[in-house]
Amino acid sequence: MKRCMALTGVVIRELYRRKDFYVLFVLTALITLLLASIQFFEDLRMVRYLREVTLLLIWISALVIAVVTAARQIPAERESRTIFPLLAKPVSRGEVVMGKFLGVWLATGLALAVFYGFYLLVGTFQGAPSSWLLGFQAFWLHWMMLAVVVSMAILGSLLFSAPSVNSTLCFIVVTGILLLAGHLNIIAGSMPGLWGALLYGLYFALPHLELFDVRDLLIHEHPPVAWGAFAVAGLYAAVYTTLFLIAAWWLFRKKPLST
Amino acid sequence: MVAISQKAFIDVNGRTIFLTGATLLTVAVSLAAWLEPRSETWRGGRARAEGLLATLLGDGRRLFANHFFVKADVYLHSGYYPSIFDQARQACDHGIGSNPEHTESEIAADTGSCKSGCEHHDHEASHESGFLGPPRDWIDRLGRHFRVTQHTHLEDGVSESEILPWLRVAMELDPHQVEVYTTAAYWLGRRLGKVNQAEAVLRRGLRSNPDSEEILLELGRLAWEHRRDAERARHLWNAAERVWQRKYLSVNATNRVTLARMLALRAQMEETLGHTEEAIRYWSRLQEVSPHPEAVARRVAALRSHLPQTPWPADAKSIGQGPGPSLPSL
Repeated sequence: MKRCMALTGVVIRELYRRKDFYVLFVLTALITLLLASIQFFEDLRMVRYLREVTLLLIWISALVIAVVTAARQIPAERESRTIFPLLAKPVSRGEVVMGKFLGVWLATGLALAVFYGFYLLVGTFQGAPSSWLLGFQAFWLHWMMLAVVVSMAILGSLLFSAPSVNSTLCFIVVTGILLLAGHLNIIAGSMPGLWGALLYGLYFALPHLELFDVRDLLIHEHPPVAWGAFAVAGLYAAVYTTLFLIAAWWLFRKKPLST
Repeated sequence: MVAISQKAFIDVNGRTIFLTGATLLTVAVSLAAWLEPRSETWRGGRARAEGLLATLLGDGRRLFANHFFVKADVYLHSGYYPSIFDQARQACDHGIGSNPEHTESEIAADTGSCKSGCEHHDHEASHESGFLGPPRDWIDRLGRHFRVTQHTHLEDGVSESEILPWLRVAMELDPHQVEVYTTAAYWLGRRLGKVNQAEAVLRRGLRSNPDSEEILLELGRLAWEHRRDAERARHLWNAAERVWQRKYLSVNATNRVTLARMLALRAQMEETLGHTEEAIRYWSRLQEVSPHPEAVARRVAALRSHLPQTPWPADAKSIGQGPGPSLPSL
């Protein structure tokens, strides 16, 4: 565990040395503040559109940070050949995978906390503060969703040679899941025969990342999520994260490092 | 000596750079002046675009206009809204064919452009019964904890303004979508009490759509209902009728609604002003196009026989809200 945490610390330091987070945060803040300064029909009471745009930017930024950071971890170590001295130490490959995952996940969590803090602050300054409880739930669910995405990207980094290919595929898969996965059962229901069954199978096999998206509840000021469902969602994310990490460890264990 | 030669070199070099720069600038300005008028032919509509969106997206921006119009409706329902998949399933379950007018009228009714004053939402029943239906599986059941499943409306007289940014974006994206202007004017004028803003929106719509009888009709309604300016309302409704007659040669199920609303509003105004003859004339005309002529006939008969009529309330907004025989909504 100590060795894992050492690896984790390296990844976190890497994130705050790189400019990705700063650029995305400044962009999000600029767009949000610019939108906040716009008056529609001389009315200052409109805040929901601002919440919607800010949350969308937060989701995009967090996804970019998570995928790009996770996708380059192991390939960068291999490319710079630092993987050899790393594995020469008493560190197992499983610990490397776990350390990398924890590092990226925690670093993404820190970035996400800053983003959500900004979101809540803007709401407060606009005179329409969001529910802090629901804000916390939104942050936590988002972070749990990112755990699945990060583990998926780490698995992808062992399957695909180039981080760019991995990142692109991860973006496509995550966006596809967010937009369509929740509706696959409806589509499967309207398709008879084998295709319908296959689609239903896919529906149950895919990680339903859209479950973790409570932006509509935040935007439209609905009550917080029931704690039971909140806990089940956390468990659901943990199961998929574990599955992806086990697959990544299994692949990494078998993978020759010389190529 | 070395310093002097270096200075001379810098001077010569500086002059050369300056002259080269000036030449390049002159060439650039000349090229720009030569290219600019020619570029209008290959840039098409974008050359005359007025806004950033129009310049960036060209006419393609109209594709997104309806999305933002629907977004306003989503906001009105506080996020409780069927996805395209839910709509398709509903259509399948209820055997509804793919009728685009159905959706459009639903949107219009929801966002308040039901101009006959019917604030009742046509598709309320289907919403209330729940488009979600029973959960289909455990993922669906779990997922409902994280999405909007309560049907609430923005209706406190303040929060309705939340829909307006999306209507404004829709206007920018497609300036020729008349429904967006009339809907925005409805919410601004009648629900939020911003009559000047409502009129500004309609005027803006009229500039982009000078042949829109709907916008003229709404401007007339605004003039009468909010400003009590009967003369201006008359002019606007006359103009609306002229446009209507120019556009449509005969009355059909689609265009009848607008004409009927024009006539009803006019008749109602004349009646309120005590111009009984004029009111009878417009009610009689309405009788010819109304889907429920018998109700209109009763009103005409009541006026003709000089039955004592209670004056209509000053803020009577629509047909059927005043005293006397109630008229069906058009």
